[in-house]
Amino acid sequence: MRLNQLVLRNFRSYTDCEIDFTDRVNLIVGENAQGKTTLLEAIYFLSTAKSHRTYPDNELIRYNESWFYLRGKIAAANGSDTNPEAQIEPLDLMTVEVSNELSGKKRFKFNGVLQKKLSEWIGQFNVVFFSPESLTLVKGAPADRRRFIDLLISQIDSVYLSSLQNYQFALKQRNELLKQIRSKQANPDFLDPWDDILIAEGISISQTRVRMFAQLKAYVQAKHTELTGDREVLELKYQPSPEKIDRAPKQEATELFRQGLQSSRSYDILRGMTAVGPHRDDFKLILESQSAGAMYFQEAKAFGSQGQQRTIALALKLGELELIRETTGKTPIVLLDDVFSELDGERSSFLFNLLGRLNAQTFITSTRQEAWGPELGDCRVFTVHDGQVN
Amino acid sequence: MLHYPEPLARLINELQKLPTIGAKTAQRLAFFMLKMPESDTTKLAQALSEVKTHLDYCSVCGNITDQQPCYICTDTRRDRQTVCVIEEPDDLLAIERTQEYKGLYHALMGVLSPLDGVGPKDLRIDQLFQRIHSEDIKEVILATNYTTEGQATALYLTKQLESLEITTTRIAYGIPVGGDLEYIDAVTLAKALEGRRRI
Ligand SMILES: Nc1ncnc2c1ncn2[C@@H]1O[C@H](COP(=O)(O)OP(=O)(O)O)[C@@H](O)[C@H]1O
Ligand SMILES: [Mg+2]
Ligand SMILES: [Zn+2]
Repeated sequence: MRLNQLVLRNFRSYTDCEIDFTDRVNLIVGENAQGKTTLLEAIYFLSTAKSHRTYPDNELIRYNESWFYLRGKIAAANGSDTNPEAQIEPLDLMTVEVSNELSGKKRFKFNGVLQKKLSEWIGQFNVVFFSPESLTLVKGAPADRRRFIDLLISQIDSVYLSSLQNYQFALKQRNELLKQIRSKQANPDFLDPWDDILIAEGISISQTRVRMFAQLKAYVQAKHTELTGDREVLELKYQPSPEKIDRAPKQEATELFRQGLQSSRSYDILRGMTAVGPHRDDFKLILESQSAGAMYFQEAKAFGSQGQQRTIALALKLGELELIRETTGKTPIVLLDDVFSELDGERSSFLFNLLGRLNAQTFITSTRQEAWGPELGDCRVFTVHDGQVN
Repeated sequence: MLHYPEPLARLINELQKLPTIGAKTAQRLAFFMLKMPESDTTKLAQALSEVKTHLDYCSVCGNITDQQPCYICTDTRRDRQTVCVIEEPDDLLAIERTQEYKGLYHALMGVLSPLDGVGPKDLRIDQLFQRIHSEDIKEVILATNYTTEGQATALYLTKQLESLEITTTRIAYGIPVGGDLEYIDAVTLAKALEGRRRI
């Protein structure tokens, strides 16, 4: 995938800006607070309909304005671009447009046609975003890791996103109902239909996550080994809610989930929240090392060094890249925000070599022009100053 | 700041309360009405007030009607053993247009939605059960929408109807007639596959 051109209007510090990008490495250089990250944010928004850093979207509207608009011109190989022979095939050109008004009205257009469903929008062109904040994948809360998994799967499976939206909506309804039951305004029997929906959608979410996680795990482990040598092994363990649901066939999983909801019902009513279900999933990252003939297991979140944690975060992101590439047959666009401050020389050259081999279009921000080195390969430099790009 | 004369401002304000009508459209409509001959504006005003004085919801099925009960509930040629449960009276018109269905209706006047404070008691569910007990009903067709709330409402009713000696069915979900599979979104297609039937 290639982003050939980006237009930003009233997007944060940008008033009206049109930029043509190169196929390989786009290096975005500028002092702090000039609008470098904002460019990556705009690309990310076109792909995922979300910002990687803020919510609600109205914060993205330039101060004193009432709307923003983004447009991307994208080229994708007609067919697979991960197969070198497919490179010569004609390219599909797509235009994607997003607008957001202060009133909350959001519009998505694909080749000029208004899109109604978010699940049909996401996945048209895919990005992988890596920044210092990616460390939250290791150190952050379970919600950070779920968001990562959900966005990853949504980019390749539109049925998944739709199930997830239904699930989250039914969950909100159920939680509200729990509070009404607690204050004796509703009858506990009213929970049954919402439980049925949570179970039906939850099982399909859970099974998709477990299947995709197994694939992701293999890629992440391979990248981690390439990054660290054989010194330590990274183990990834999915932790579904309710427990063991990942190892049960569909019928049994449904029963497990139903029992889980039943047995926590009175507790749920007390708390006004649902304690069981895929909205409580997490995965653990465990480092296995060998020393003096003994094996050591340490959870990376609590015991890993800063360097180990960064390496794991990078391995997770590269695993994401590989998984999207293998499943869709198209290399995602790679967005790297401030990574020079994050990765040492060895890890950054590993990263740039890999991206060069994959021929991935890459956007890198840096405060230093010198960041540009031969290992970046064919590269175009953009300087950003106060919402203007040269 | 521009000020409209009071009566005009009031008209714009009232029009703006209608669905899909924003400030600009309300203004356009109001200025158009100003130019209409008085005979036409009187007719419009009359029609508006008569809609409220002469029309009501059918006390049996919830249909919009000018007689009690409505023409469908009193039509003896219809299949009086089948009731189709719908969310709103407009759904009745959609189903009637198909000319396929010959049974009776029951509008719930909404769907279950705790977030909007709507529970079973806020819908016409008790009335449905009263009808089932007093009329000779053999089948209930659940035709609420395939939204999360519509589905929850259907699931709730299914459970409530379980203990009764009647058949409960749910309208099917799937591919529009003449729909080309290639152009149907993945979600609809997946649901259609899930709900496939032996032929
Ligand atoms: N809604 C907004 N309207 C106008 N300017 C904004 C808005 N949001 C952020 N900014 C400005 O954008 C700049 C931040 O841009 P950013 O892309 O994060 O900079 P950096 O170059 O450090 O990555 C800051 O100067 C900030 O004041
Ligand atoms: Mg920045
Ligand atoms: Zn009637």
